[in-house]
Amino acid sequence: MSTRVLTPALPTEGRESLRGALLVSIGLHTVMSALMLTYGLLRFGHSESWGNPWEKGSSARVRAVSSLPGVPLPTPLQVTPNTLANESPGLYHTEPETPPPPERAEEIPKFKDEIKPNEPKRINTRIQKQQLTPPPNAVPFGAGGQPAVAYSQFTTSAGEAGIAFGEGDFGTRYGWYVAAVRNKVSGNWLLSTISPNLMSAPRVYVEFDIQRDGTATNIRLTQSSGNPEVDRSTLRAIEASNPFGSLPPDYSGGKVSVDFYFDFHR
Amino acid sequence: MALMNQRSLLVGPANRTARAAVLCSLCGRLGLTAAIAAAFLIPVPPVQGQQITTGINRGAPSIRIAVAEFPAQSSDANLTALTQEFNSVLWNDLDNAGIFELVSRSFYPLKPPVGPADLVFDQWANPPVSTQMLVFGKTEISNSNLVITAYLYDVKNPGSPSVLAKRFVATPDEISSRETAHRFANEIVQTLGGGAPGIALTKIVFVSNRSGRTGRSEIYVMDYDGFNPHPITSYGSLSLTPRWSPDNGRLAFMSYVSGNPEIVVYSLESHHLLPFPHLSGMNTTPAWSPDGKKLAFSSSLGGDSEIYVANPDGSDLQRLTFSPSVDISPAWNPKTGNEIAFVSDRSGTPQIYMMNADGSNLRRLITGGGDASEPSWSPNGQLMAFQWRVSETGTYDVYVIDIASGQITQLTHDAGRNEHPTWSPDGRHLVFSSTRTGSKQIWTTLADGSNPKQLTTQGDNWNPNWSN
Repeated sequence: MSTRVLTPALPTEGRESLRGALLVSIGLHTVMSALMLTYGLLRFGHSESWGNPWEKGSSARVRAVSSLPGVPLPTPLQVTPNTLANESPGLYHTEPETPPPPERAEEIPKFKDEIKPNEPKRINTRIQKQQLTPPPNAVPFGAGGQPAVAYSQFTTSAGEAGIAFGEGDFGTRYGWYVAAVRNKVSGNWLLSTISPNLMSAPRVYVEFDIQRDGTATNIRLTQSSGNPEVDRSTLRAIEASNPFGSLPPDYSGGKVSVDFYFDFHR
Repeated sequence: MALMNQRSLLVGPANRTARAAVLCSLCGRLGLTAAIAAAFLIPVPPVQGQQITTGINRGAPSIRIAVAEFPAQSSDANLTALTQEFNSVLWNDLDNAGIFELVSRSFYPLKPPVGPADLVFDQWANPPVSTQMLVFGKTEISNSNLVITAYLYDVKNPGSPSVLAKRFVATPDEISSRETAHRFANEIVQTLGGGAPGIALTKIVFVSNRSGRTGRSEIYVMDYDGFNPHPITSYGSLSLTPRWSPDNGRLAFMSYVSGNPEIVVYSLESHHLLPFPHLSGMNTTPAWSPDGKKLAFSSSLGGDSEIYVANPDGSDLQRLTFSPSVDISPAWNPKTGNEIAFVSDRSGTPQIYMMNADGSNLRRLITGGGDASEPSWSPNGQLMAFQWRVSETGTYDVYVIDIASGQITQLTHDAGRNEHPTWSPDGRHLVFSSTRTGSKQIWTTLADGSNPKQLTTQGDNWNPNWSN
């Protein structure tokens, strides 16, 4: 059996000549390329070439945020839409003003066979009529100032933290000292020391003593978060803040034991 | 029933808060004595480890502080002037400190308190002043001395409001009055700022051509707020890049005083030059090690500029860098003393590199290209300020890099050419030179880029360095 190469028989008679079209196409392409080249030369002729040292690399990211972790400056306040997040949180909100009812309320259309609900029976009218008077120790909204409590809470770039000062009334008497310690630790708790893929961690409790001259001693973890990185970062925050200011001169004790908690979250 | 209500309210976590708040409001109304009485009537139980969850996400807020004008206790003209000086300096110092929010004086009661007896807590703790802290006191002339009694009170805590009570005795002149204000401001900053000393008594050294001769410059020193600039040198030569020694007793700088650009060590105690060998070539940009026992500098002793380390008297000279490019502007890590940052153009343009203090472990710090120079470490060793020109057509601006994370923050922008940043010893401020007013002048800013202040106006001034 002999093999035979099958050559497709192309109809040569009915084919259009591409010659003209080809010439036009080449011409147009040439004009286009010339235009692009001249434009490029005119537009970018003086630009820097690739890979020169002025090219800004992709690895440097500059931010224009005004808060620098590690600088002992107050961080800008972050306002959250929380009911208590106002300038001077009181303990009770005053009743918000109810808007006046519209002039003419739209009437509910009546139905033919309307079933009226039974009138609820009052069992004890005295209790029902009891007016809820605000307790005498109610603090009007916005007039309370900062509550003087044992634990005060704050938020750093790395998360929330709280602080309690010893037994007794140190925290209430020397609120300014507690605030100073808090602000200092807050500025030294660095987000950069915790790996970025960790979003949150359970609360870490750290205890330490502040001696009369302000040095922190006996820094120890009393409750771990379970994540050594977070634990270390909190201990580092205390170590980096050491020494604190010396204890208030009229405080009689030799040292103050501080119970600090850190809530890490991003 | 009302009593029941109250009792049921007082149980629970808000218990202490409520009681403290009542106490506060009472004290506010009735003054100090009432507060003490109330404290006795309502025995406050020992504080347990209670906590409240307020849900406030508030960062570390600035401390709100009111600074009442200290009244002069006699109408002596000299005392009036000194008191005015004291008041304005104290206000400026606290305003510059960076950790306070000063309450405007227009809100204050008309008659400032002179002593704790006149203090009405209500007037200060409540709106419109609503301050947390109050500074007040008085000035008087006693035995021809200027006596200033000054108090810092926590007015939101009338139970034990006294934080600081000081009595300063000074000679009645302007310098002493300013120094007293600086001292008291430092005490306040140290007390409320968590123990870091204030910077009100620090000085800034800089280079100026204000004497008028072109191509010449002298070393000048001024207070940190720009007061009293005075020359240290009068060589009629070109002197640049002064650096304070860590004990503030010496200045190291580069000078052409002997004809050749050389490192010069100047004693601020004896006002004489200390011995330092005359090295050949270009010797410039000295930097002190944090213990003051070593001096790093750039020298072209061996042909091209390299970083050398020597003792402050020039002995024990060691070469640290070995590269055919220019290596200049060394800066020691002030916290550890184990690392030196410097500028090198080995990659084509000036860039900031880091190495260990013995020259090992060399690495590039700023990887972003452009032209980065003038590194300056923050006192805690975590941050580095530098000047950077990101693009060839751009201008120099001051940036800060967090060394551990590599995060860069731009501090100045759209305001002339900003160069030569160095840190204040408290780590809250930076001093730099800027051309934003048209001529090159010294400016300070908070380390987050806010609160820029111009310190100099005369001639051209550059190369500032903050004392320790």
